[in-house]
Amino acid sequence: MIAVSTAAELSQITPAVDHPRASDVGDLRDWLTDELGEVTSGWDRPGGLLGITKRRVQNALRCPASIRAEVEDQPMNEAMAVGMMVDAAASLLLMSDQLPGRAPWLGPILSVLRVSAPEMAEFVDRHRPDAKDDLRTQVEDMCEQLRLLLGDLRAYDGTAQESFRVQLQAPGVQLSGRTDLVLGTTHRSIIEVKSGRFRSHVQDELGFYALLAALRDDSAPVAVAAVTLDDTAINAYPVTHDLLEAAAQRVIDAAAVLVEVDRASVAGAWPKTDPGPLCAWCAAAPRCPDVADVSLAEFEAHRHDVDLIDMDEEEPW
Amino acid sequence: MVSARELELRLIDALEPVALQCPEGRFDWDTSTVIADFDVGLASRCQAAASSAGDEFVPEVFNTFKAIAKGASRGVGPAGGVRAALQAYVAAARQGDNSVEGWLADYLNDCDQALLVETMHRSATWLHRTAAVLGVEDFDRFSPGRRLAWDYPDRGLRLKGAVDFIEDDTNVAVIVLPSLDDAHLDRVALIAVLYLLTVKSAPPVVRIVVHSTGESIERPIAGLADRAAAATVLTADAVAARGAGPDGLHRSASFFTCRGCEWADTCEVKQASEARQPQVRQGIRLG
Repeated sequence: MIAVSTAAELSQITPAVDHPRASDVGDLRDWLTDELGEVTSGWDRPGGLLGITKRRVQNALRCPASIRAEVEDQPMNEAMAVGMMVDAAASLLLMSDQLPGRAPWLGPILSVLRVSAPEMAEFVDRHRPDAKDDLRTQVEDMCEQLRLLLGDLRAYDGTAQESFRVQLQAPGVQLSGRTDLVLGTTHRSIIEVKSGRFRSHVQDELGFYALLAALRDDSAPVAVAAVTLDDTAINAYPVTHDLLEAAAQRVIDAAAVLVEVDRASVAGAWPKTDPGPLCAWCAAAPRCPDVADVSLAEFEAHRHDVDLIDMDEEEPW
Repeated sequence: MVSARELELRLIDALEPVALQCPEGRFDWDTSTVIADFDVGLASRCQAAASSAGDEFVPEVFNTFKAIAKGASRGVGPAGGVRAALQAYVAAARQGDNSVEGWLADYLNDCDQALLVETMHRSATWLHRTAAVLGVEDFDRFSPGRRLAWDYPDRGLRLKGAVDFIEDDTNVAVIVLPSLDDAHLDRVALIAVLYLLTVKSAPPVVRIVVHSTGESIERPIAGLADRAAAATVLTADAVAARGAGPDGLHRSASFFTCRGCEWADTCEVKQASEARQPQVRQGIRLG
């Protein structure tokens, strides 16, 4: 781990001793390509590249059946709204010269969402006044935490909502994602903002981003970090060869699951399931054969033990 | 190597069916058909969206951030980074600097603080990625933007577009894309052909910079001519159908295609998309 009190300090970080070199990244790409080729060989695919995102990796390795949620209606909820709003706040903090002071956040963020995510803005606007006041309080508190944890970014260049795509043509796989913040130019650090708490899956997500950046640019970022607002923490890690290799292995494992999900669909079967508290978040749960016999209410009780909401979608254009 | 004249003749031939539907005579803003590179990208995704009359152009985050980034690009360098360049550009615009176009200066003066910052971070990200993919630390060797237009001879049909940068030493046009898909490549094809038709001494290649994949690719303009013509015809069909409804037009739903489309409320393709159909997602079948 890297000890920092603000994310801005990551702009001063230099590469670790075991930071992967370009040749290491090249070797990793070759290995990943070969392994994914093994996974997809002989698979009668429907066409197009097999898309792998951090959410897919996460869901595939937790419960293959949860991938079916991608074709279910996913009604907006409070957690999604808050997640999207803190992401918007992070983008604003990267460039603003005025907002880094205590600010009324909800208004400016809604002003942005009305342009970039109008449905989410409408969802918030539909709140009753008292519920909206509660939401306002929550968002204001989180954004203030975010401001303190990010630190003063005004001295540093960086990007917000940067898209990454890596196409591995031989196995027909595309890895993609969008980072919340990338700080620095020569030595880059990737920063993920979460409204929830730091958990192991967040660390896995950081590894996925590091892998994406390394493969795309033939150069690994220096560090990855999660700014988690519910526990007011920064967990930062140097990017090492082991971190990239572990992330690549998870991609390979997830790809194998995704191919099996496709094969199950073609056979008219339901993919393998792994029911648990996470079913309370899963849009496929109401139709899942292994959940139908168990009361979702049992899982609902544990709903807030997990936080998975992250609006990391493919770019629409 | 194909000359500009040869390319023009190919384009004239391919667009003849479209041109014959346009009024005879020279270009006229009131009666002529205008097909912009933006229309081509849109029609490639969804002809119905391109056929929608749409709203009058209103500057907002998505249609200003690139112009701001390009305007600020010359300020990026040893003296200051992207952030400083953007701030200087916005300050100049607000002080009435004549080098900033009026519509953009109005936007920068009028939009609220949050939207301004949102626009700025998109501009910053765009400039950062462009520099990173080009492998440069500043834009000293690049001139920002150039508008291009070509009129079909003796018909009211105009094609227009713009390159993002021109490399000063080589005159190579640089076109920056968020990702490289068919729709974006259709746009690139039109812009590249227009560049060669407009700048007769242009080199035979264009440079395509792709933000999401980090690619910087040179493509021969001659090889894009057929693509440009086909995409323009597809777009012209959509433009000709304005006011007639979306039936018979190729359609595809997405945030950007449906945003502002007059047919969106009744579009079956959009409804099916919202109902999560078809059930193939990112390369696998689901249910």
